[in-house]
Amino acid sequence: MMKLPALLGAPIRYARRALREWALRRQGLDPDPVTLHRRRIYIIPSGLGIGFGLVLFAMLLASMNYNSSMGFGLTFLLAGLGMVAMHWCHQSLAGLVVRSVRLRPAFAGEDARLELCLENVSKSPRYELLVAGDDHQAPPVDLEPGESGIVSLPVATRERGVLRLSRINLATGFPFGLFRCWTWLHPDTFGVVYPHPGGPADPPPPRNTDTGGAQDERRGEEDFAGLRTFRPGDSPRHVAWKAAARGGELLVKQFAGTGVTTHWLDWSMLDGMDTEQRLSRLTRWVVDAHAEGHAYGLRIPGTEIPPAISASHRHRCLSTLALYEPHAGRPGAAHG
Amino acid sequence: MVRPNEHLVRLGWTAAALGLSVGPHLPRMPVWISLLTLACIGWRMLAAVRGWKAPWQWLRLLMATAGFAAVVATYGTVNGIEAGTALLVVMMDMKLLETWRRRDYQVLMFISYFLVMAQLLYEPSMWTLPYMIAAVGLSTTALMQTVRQGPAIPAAKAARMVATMLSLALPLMLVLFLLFPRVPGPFWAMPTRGGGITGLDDVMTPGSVNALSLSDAVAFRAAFDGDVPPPAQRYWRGPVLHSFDGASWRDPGGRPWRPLEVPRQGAAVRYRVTLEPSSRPWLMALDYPAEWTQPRAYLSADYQLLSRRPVEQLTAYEVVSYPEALNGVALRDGDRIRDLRLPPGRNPRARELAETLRSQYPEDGDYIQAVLDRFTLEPYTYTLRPPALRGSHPVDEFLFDTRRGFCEHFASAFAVLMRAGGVPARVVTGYQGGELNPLNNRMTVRQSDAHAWTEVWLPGPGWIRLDPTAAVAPDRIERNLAEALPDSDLVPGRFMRSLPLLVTLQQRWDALDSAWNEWVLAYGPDRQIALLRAMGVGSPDWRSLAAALGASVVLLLAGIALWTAWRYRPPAEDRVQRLYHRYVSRLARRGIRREPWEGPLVLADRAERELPAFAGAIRSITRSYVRLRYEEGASEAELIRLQRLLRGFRP
Repeated sequence: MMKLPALLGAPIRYARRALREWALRRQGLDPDPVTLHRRRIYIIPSGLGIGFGLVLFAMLLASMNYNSSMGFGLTFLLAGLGMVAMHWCHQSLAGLVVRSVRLRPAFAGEDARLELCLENVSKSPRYELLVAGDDHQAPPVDLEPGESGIVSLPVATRERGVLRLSRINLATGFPFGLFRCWTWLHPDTFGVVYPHPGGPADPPPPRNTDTGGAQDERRGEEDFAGLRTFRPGDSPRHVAWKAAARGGELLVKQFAGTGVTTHWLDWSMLDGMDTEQRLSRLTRWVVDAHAEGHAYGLRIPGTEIPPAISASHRHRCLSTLALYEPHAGRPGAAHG
Repeated sequence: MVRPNEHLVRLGWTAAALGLSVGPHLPRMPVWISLLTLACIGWRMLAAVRGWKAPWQWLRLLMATAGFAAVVATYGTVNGIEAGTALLVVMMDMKLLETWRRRDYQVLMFISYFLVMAQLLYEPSMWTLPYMIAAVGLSTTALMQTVRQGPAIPAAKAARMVATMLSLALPLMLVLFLLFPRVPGPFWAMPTRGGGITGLDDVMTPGSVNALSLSDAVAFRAAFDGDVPPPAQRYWRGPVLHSFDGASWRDPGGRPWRPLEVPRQGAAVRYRVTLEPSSRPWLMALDYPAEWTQPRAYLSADYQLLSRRPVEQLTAYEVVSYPEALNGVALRDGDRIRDLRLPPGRNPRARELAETLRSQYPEDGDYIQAVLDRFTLEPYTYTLRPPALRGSHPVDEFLFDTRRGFCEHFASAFAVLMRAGGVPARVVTGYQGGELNPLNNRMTVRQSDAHAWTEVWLPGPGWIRLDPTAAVAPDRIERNLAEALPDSDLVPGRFMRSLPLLVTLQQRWDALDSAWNEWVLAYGPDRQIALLRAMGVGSPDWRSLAAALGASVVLLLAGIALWTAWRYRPPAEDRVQRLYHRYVSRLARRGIRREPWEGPLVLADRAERELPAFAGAIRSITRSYVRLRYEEGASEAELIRLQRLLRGFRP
C-alpha cells in the first residue's frame, strides 16, 4: 500500500504530459494579448475539495441515519455552496487578458525572468491568480475590476542559445480552494540565454584604433558615444542629469576621444580552446569591458561587430555569442 | 509563508466561526469542556500576538489522550450525538493548539461544519434554519480567508461575496431537499439520547404524571381526514402497565409478540400524526389502530403501536383507527393470573372494601358500577397538587384519608379495587384530549395532556376502557385540564387562555410550528411522491424522482453559470466607442483589419487608399470620431452626425 503513490506516479506523469500536449494541439500558440476563453479553462477538485466531498458524504449518511431533515438541509446547502464555488472559480479565469509576455535575457545557469501582465477587464475582482512555470511559482496576484498587474517569474536556464517557453500555468483556487482551475498559456515568445561567463580573466591587450572622434582631439568631449553606469571618481560634469532626474540609476555620458580604451575581442586570439570555452571567455570579456566602460568590438567566425559602447551593443554582442553555431561559421562543413 | 499579523486575522475569523458553531453546544456540556475551549482559543490568540510556537508534540499527544479519556469518563461512551459532539469539541480544542499551517485551518472549518450538523440533529426547531445559514456563512468566510495565500480580503467585502454565494446555493439546497431520494434509516444502531426529554414513562408512581402536566411542550400533533372524533374518544394509547408492587405500576415486558386482529367496527378515523422525538419507541395512536404507514412499526399485544427503534427525530405517519371497536380478545390463564395479581400485605383497607362491595354485587357489571359510584358520590377531589403519599399503603391512604388525587391516583386505586374484586384490570398511560387549532385544523397534544386510565377485562367484549377520572372530573375529558382543576391550582396556559389576543398569537405560532414540522422536519418519501404527482408525473417512483432532481439541478447550475458570467462581464463601452467599433468591423468585412498599433487617422489613410470610393465617408467618420473623442465640449449634435454617417456607410 505504501508503494501505491510511487506506482501511480509514472502513469500520472504520463497522463499529465499527454493532457498538456493535447491542450497545446487544441489551442495552438497564443497571440499577445490573449483573452482567456472559457473553453480553454480546465477545472478539477483539489485535495481539499475531495476532503469536502467526503465530509458531505459523511453528513449525508448521518442525516439518513438520524432521519434528520435539518441534517439534509445542511448537507444540501454545503453541496450547493460547493457547486457555486466551482462556477465562481472557473469564472475567475474566464475573460482574463494576458499580455506582454516576455523573457529577459540571462546567462546560462542563472534564472531568466519571465514577465507578463494580467489584466482584469471585467466588473468583478479576481483573486488569488497564480502564475507558475515548470519549477517556480510567482506570489498570488489580486486584481480589482479594471486593474492589471505584472507578474515576474524566474525560469531556470542550463545552456546558451534560444530559450523557448514551453508553457505557463495560470491557475486559481478561489474562493475556497475546493477546486483548482487552470489554463496553459503557450506564448509565442523566446528569450536569449547568453553563454556562461567563465571565471575572471585578463582582458586582451587594448588596441587604440579607429574609434570615431578619437583622432580629432579638439572635438573630444562633444563626441557623445553612449551611457554607462556611474562609478566613484567619475566627473560630475559627465553625469547624465536629465536621465537621472527621470528616475533610475545614475548614468555617466561617455565620449569618444576622451581616452576611451578600445578592445577587439577576437575569436582567433583564443587558440587551444574549444568552442564553448572560447564563447565563455568572450562573454567574460564583453561583460568586463562593458562594466569598465571600455569600447569593444567582437570578431567571431562569420560575424564582425564594430566597437561601440552601449547597453544595446552589449546585448547584440552577447546575443551573437549566445546564438553562435559552430558550423555556420564554416560554410560547406559537414554536420558532425 | 504567513506573516504574524496575517495569522491574527486568520485566527480571528476562525475563532468567530468556531464560536458560533460551538456556542449552542456548550450549555449542554460539562463545564470543563467550556473552560477548555475558552482556554485553547485564548492561548492560540495569545500565541499569535506573542509569536509563540506550537507546544511540543508529545505534550499535545498527551493532552489529546487526556481529553479523550475525560470524555469517556464523563459520558461512558464516545458513541451517539452527545458524547460524539463532546469528543468533537475536545478534538477541535486540541487542533487549535497546533493550527499553524493552512491545512490546519481547513480541518478546523470542517470540524465547524460538523458541529453545526450536531446542533441541527439535536434541536431541529424553526430558529435553527437562520442559525444554520449564519453559521455556514461565517465558517465558509473563514475558510475563504484561511485558504488564501495572499492577505485576507476586507471583512465587509468577503462577507458580501459569501452572502452572494449563499443566495445562489439556497435554490440548489431547496431542490435537493425536495427531490433527493430519501432512504429511510437508520442503518446502524444509535445510542438513545440520555434524558433531557420530558414525556411518558413506562413506570407510573403516584405523582409521575402530574409532573408532566406542568410541561407545555408539544407531544405530537394530529391532522384528521374528515371529522375530528369527539373528546370522549381522544384516548391516545401509550404504555400499558400490568404489574403492581403496592405503589407503582410498570410494564413487565418480555411478552411474546403475536399478530393481532383489530375488529373494524364503527366509524373509521383517519389521521396523520407528527410525533416529537421522545427517545422511546412508542407511536401515539387512537384506540384501536388498524392500519398505519410507518415502515417497520407493529402492534403490541396490548394494542400499542410500536416502532422498531426509539423515536429520535420528528416522525410523521398516518393511522386508521376504530375508536368504537370492541376487541373481544380472550384472556389466557397466564394473563388472567397476571392481571389479577396484587402484592400480598399491601393496601389492606382497599382489599377489604373490594371484598365488601363484591359480596353485595356478584355481577361484574354491577360491581364496576358500584366502585365508580363510590368515586362520584364520595368527596374525592381532582387536583394537580395532591398531598404526598408517604406510607407503604399509598392506595389506602388515597382512598380513605387524603381523597385528593390526580389521574394516576384514581387509575391506580380503581385498578386495585378491580383486581381485589376479581376483575382482571390494567393501567394504560398515554394522552387524553388535545387542542384543535382553528387556523390549520390540526390537533395539538401537549405533555400536559398526559393521562392514565384503566382497562378491565370482561368475558365477551374483552378489554374495555374505564376512566375513573371521567367519573370524578368529567371536564377533564370533555374540555381540558385547566377547566377540570380547582382555580387554586397553577396550570400552564390558564392565565394565557384568559387573554384573547394571546390566544390568537399562540394559535398562530402553533400553526407555524406545525407547518414547519409537517413540511420540513417530517418531509419524507411520501411527501416527495405527492409533490411529483402534483407536478404532473403519472406514476411517480424513485426513478422519476431522480430524473426530476437531475433536470432541476442542471437547470439551476446553468443559471448560476450565466449569472457568474454576467457578473464578470466587461464594462459596457460608451456610445461613441460602440459606433466607432461598428465602423471598424465594417471595414474588416472588406478585408481592412485594424492592427493593434493603428490609430484612427492611420487606419483612415490606409482605408481611403484601399477603398477610394468611400474615401469621403471614411474621412468624415474619422473626423467626427476624433472630434467626439478629443475635442473639448463635443456636442450631442456631433454624436447624432456620427450615427447618421454610419447609417450610410456600407462599404
